[in-house]
Amino acid sequence: MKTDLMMHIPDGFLSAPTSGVFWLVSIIVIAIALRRSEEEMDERGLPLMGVMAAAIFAAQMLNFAVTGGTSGHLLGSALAVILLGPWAAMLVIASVVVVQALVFQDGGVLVMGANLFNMAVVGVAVSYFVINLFNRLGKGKRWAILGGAFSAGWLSIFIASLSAALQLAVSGTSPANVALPAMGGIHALIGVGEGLITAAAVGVVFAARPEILQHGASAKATARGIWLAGLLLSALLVATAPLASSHPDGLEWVAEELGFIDTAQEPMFEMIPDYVFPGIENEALATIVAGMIGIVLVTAVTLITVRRKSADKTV
Amino acid sequence: MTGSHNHLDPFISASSRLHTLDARLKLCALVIFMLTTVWLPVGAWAAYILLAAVLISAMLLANIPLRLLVRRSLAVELPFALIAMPLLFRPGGNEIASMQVARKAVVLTDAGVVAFSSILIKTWLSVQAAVLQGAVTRFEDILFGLRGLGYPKVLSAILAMMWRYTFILSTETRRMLAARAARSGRAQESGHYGGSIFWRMGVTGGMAGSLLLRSLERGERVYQAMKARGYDGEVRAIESRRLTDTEKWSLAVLVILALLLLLAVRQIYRG
Repeated sequence: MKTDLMMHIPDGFLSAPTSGVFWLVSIIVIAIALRRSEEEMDERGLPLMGVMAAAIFAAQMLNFAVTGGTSGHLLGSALAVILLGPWAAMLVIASVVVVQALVFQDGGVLVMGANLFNMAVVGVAVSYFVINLFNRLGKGKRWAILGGAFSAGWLSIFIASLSAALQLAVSGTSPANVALPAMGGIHALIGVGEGLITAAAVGVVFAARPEILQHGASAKATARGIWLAGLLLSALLVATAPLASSHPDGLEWVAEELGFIDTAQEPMFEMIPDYVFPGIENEALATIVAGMIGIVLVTAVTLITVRRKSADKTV
Repeated sequence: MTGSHNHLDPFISASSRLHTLDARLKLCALVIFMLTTVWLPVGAWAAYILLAAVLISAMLLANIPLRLLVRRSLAVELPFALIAMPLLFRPGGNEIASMQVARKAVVLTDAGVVAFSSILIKTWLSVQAAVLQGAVTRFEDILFGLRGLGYPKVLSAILAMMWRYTFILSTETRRMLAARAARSGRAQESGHYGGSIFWRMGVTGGMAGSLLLRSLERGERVYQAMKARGYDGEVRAIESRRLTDTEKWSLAVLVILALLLLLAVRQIYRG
């Protein structure tokens, strides 16, 4: 079983307004990242980001046995930030998310905005904030680099999972008092793996090519916006999580007020306990008609394809 | 060029109308289909049946064994059924069964069952549509379609580069995994993995580190090779052809059909 599956929300698990809002946020942030990374990186940036996106994608195949048949593996936001700096990392992780959704159905298409937000925006911003913090405490020292790598790996996974859980709760898919502790709890554990792998990987880079770490996130002080975003997102999500899970109805109320939960389902739920089915004739009829249309359609297509195949054979 | 050089590529080669259709049309149709699905209310069975019929027809037209496509979508969906489980016990509606879990009454409600099965069906419709689109569209065409639909030039250049090196780097990763398996003894039967879990994570981290280092260096080499061929930092791409009137009209018809379906569903299920 893949342990990161909950980070890639599939289609159907988020309501349309939730997906829309996160598409908007992600597009704006990625557009900024696009401009900033063009300013910061010279012409060698493009091939580098392409190859590194492939590398992060491939590195996610590196797994390790946890226990029994379960295995954990890397997500890589923190690693990308350390090696490439925050803006380029955002584009790289976003590219990985796009390919995973469009080609491998790992994460949905309509909900891709939310997945981009969790992994490319939250994951990267939180990682950058932590790494930068450690770097300020002990500039260029081994403990600061490794400690920063571990903490960034852990916190980015944990915070991103809280963000995903809140998205599920706001969509009415999973109640906040179930989604938040479950997702947060599991990812607090998975995050340890991410942190240790990130630290070990950075250790290799530090031993072999220490100058690379000077170019990456540790040195750049230009991304103050991301730094603040990382701090705010961490603080906000950590503060909201216990609040939302102790008052799940509150979140649902907010969601309903904002129209996040489909209001069309309300009459449905009210109807059943009263044993009044004003729409039943309509509904039953509609289902039967739909079933008949469906059967006709599928049969017609089957006949066409079968005929075409036999025609191909005789030619 | 029939097959793909990339063993990860989910593209399945076959001759069908769906394969030759313009990628922009397929991507738009996919998004229209998914939007229709997500906007359907809970328990709109008639509409689910109609959409499933449309989807199954499309799968038949693709000339690819159905069980291949269905197996892929189920592999994606099944783990998520677990996450939606709490919906079954959602308050409201009539009690179907109840049990005591940790001294708390857990009540299975009909409203919960309706909500749970609706989500599973809606997710299957979307995932299956995405699986189909991935199976009948080459990645190069998806990329070209994205460009035509306004995906930024630099980002699509990154995607193109990424796709090219995914094959090479995943092969490299496989070699590393084989080397680890050969050296650190992963005897599952005996429960020994060659070291503690922290040791295992450290080894994996070292592998990730050297993979990324090699990739950074490869990125440098790629840049130098591009430079030698005249790369100046500017991304150039072939402009995509304009959609024909027939193609535009068929998209418009799709949108209208989707809107009609949504309207009809609102009428019927509001009672």
